[in-house]
Amino acid sequence: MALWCDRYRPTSLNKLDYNKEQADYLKRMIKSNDFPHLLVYGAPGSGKRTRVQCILREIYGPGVDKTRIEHLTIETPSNKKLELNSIASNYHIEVNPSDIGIQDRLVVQDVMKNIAQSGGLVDKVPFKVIVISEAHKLSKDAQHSLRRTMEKYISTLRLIMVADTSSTILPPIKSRCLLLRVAAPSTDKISQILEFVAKKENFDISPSLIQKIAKESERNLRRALLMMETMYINQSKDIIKPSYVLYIQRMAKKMVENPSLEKVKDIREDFYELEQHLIPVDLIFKVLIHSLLQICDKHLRGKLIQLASHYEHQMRVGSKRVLHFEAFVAHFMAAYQKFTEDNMIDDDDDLLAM
Amino acid sequence: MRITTHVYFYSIVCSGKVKGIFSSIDVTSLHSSKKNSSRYQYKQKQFTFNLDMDSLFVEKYKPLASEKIIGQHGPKSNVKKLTHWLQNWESNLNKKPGFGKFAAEDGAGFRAALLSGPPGVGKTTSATLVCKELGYTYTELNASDTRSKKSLGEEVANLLSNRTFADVRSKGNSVLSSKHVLIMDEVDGMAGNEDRGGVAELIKLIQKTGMPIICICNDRSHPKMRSLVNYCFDLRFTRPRIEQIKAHMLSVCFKEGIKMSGDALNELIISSNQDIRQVLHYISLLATAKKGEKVDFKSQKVIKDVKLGPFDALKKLFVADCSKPLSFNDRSDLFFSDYSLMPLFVHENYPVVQPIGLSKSQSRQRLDLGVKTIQSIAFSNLIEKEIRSSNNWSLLPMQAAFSSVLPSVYMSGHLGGMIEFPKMLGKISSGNKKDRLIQDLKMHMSLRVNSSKTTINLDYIPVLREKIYKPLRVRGTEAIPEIVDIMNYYCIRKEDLDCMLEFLWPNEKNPVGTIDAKTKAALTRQCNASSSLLPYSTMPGKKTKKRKAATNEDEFGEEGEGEEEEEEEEEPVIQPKKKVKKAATKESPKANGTKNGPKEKKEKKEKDESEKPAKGAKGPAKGKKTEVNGKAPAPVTTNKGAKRAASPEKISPQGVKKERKISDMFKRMQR
Repeated sequence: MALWCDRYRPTSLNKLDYNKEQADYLKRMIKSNDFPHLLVYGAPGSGKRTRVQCILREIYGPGVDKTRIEHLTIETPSNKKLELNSIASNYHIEVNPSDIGIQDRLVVQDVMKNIAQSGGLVDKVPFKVIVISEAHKLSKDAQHSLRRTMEKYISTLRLIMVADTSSTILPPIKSRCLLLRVAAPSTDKISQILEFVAKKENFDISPSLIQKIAKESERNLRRALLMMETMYINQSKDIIKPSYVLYIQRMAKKMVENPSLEKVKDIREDFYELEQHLIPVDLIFKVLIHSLLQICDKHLRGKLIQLASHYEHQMRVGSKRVLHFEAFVAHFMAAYQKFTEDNMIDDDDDLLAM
Repeated sequence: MRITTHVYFYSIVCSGKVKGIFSSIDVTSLHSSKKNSSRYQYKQKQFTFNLDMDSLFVEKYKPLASEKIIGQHGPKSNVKKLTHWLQNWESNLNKKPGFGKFAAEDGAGFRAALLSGPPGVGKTTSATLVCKELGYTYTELNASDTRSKKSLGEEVANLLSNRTFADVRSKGNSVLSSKHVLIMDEVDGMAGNEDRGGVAELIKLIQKTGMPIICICNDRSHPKMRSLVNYCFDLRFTRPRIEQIKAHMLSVCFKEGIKMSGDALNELIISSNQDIRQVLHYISLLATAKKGEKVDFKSQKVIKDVKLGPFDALKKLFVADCSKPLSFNDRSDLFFSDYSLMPLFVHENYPVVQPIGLSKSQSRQRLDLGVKTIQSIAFSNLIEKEIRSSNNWSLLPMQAAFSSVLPSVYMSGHLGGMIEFPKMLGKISSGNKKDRLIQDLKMHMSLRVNSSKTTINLDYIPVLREKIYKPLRVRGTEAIPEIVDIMNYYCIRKEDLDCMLEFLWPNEKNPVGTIDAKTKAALTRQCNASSSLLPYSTMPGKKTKKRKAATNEDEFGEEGEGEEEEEEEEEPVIQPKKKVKKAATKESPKANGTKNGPKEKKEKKEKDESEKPAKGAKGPAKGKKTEVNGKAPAPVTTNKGAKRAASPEKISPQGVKKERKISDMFKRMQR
């Protein structure tokens, strides 16, 4: 009994619902019995992993589904031992180097080299496949050490890198890979799939609601399916918004109701709460800005975006997120107050220079 | 003048470390290892060469009787206690010392005493004087002797078979000296390779010693001392009060003909942190000034040496005192009282400051000031990042300026609330804990769900939680097979369910709340029974404890320990098991909520158990591990060297740029 998004996951390239043309290409490529390294990228919930699994199955047959968890121990130069979990079948291994954080270079250097040197096992296919998930989080160092590995062991090893975005991947890596962009499904496509699943599960849901889910999911198929299932479980007739969204929306409301320094401190606590729930900051900013944009006057919107982008940038450069977030909150509150009371907007030129 | 510097230097050298040797040299030289004693003798010669011992105030005015030790007059003073303890040491030998609160007041039964307290309050002096007065001879071992496990054993073994001359004369060689004490000075200095195992050996000695041992240390709460404290009669020395020291110092000054005002003396005592030895050193330095001249003390300079805690520093930073406005340097000095903690303190507490010149109703102006403050603090974080990431510590004053000086200028006023300890650190660490939880959960589910932590956290957990707990709430025990099925599919355990509950929002209802206890218990039982199919190892030691705690908390701890043990025995391999599982799920079609669910489970479990021994023999995962291990370090080093060579060029231009940028920024801010 799996969740719907897992139960109705396509298992072969033939069964994919969208990007079918790409699937055909892939099939032909695999038939030719050799292919270059792959870099599969696309927004979350667009089906990258599903495709990778399909590709693997196409290459090796059903054996790749028999996976197990393997613990790899990596020793740093300072003799610290790091644990990394990987998922392996007899034919491939999947690692997520970003789990280890800044030492991810070691994963590439040690683990992958080891695997590469041991070579392929199957007569039919002369190479092993290493799947690198969350490749967009690889540090520069790791990517650089990947370059050589990719070339040197090409006879025994194929890499499939899965990334949310290709922009953080270094150009030399990109040039060594076949780039596969998995476009997120269109809203209509999502509606179709939702309809299909709902019918299979005997879930009576109105087409308009399906449309709404598809729109709300932001073209993230997994999220759309999970949303529908939540509604099914709770027998609700409307979309249930995730708690963190509600929480951040409440935060936005707080910001514009009689701003004061005490409020700033209050919101700091809210931010801590969000951090405790491991909500990524970019998501916090995104939802917050969206809800603030709806609240505030159109003349102030430019200012809001300017501030938000400035402080989000600062946050990425700096190390303590709460400081920059708080600076944003305080700054915007002051700007908002100034606008409502004096009808004036500052142009903080120095912000840009900083 | 040259002589005075000599005196000063010498006093520093011999005040703490060597002094003890002189007084104990008669004993030491008799028995201790040749190397050590010859070294001390050499030193002794060198010093006595051109200096008169009496010219040193610390030696000259050293108390000669235990009553004369400053701050140790009272009947309950440490010296009295020590005397009492030593007197009755022999007779109390068979008593059992209590523990903690139950320890005997007078330390009866303890074979050793531990004198602890700040430096310069007379711990060593007390110990030696008490011994002398009671007619004990003593051997002192301090940080300048090596006190490793081995040497300590030898030394003391020597000592035990050692006799004073007096003994030899009176009793022949039949009995050991009964009147002998071992003083272990500076036990908290037992560290490093030289003294390895010293503390443990000392404890062993204490347990079987035939003579009293007095240990002396500065910091009894130090982790190294923790084990020792339990075996010792605990005597804590505190700093004498200012007046007590002052009275003695005045008499010293009088005897030496130094004219010194009471205030100056007060300041001197405060600035040296009530350290008698230090005060005496200062006075001996002053004594070298021209006789009869009144000594003026630059009071400010002395006071600066007092170390402020972050709470005090923060108060000083923000509370505006019109009579004594703080300069830029003063403020930045306050930052340097603890440069890693101060920025956090400033950040935590700036919103409670009520800036001067603003009434309570002017909240808008206050907010504006607050904006400037937090901007500056946020900016200082960028500098901090630069400092920490590229070790560019020369930027630290810059951080001081932005993280403490500027905020304190903007927000100077009075504090409108309590100063709080920064919460950020705690929040960061509990955030990390949550992150680990998710990481674990991700690992457990990774065979089925292959997504990032964020996806699991934001998308999966809420749905999965509902999917599991909603049927339980509605249908109770009936829904359990279905739930166990879900859990098996995702390879999660009961503990992972608990982990999911940790991610509830404050405004969300606890989904477990309305489930009755019976259902809960049934679920736990089912989970324990069928969780033999895990593809990962369940770490025994740490996790079982947690698990026990968790089950107790939830009030369904009926499960015996047998089941838990069973779980630990399993190998982290799934291959053959999974086949069984798949077959099982195929047999029972979709609607698994029927009642034959549990029965099937039991059969399955029996099957699994029969398979177990075979699996144990395989143990494939571990072999892999070692293989990776063995090859690990070699390639790393070479690559790193190359990188290092390349990196400085990269960093330096950036650093310069940043510095320039920052200084520009700084100018602008000042305007």
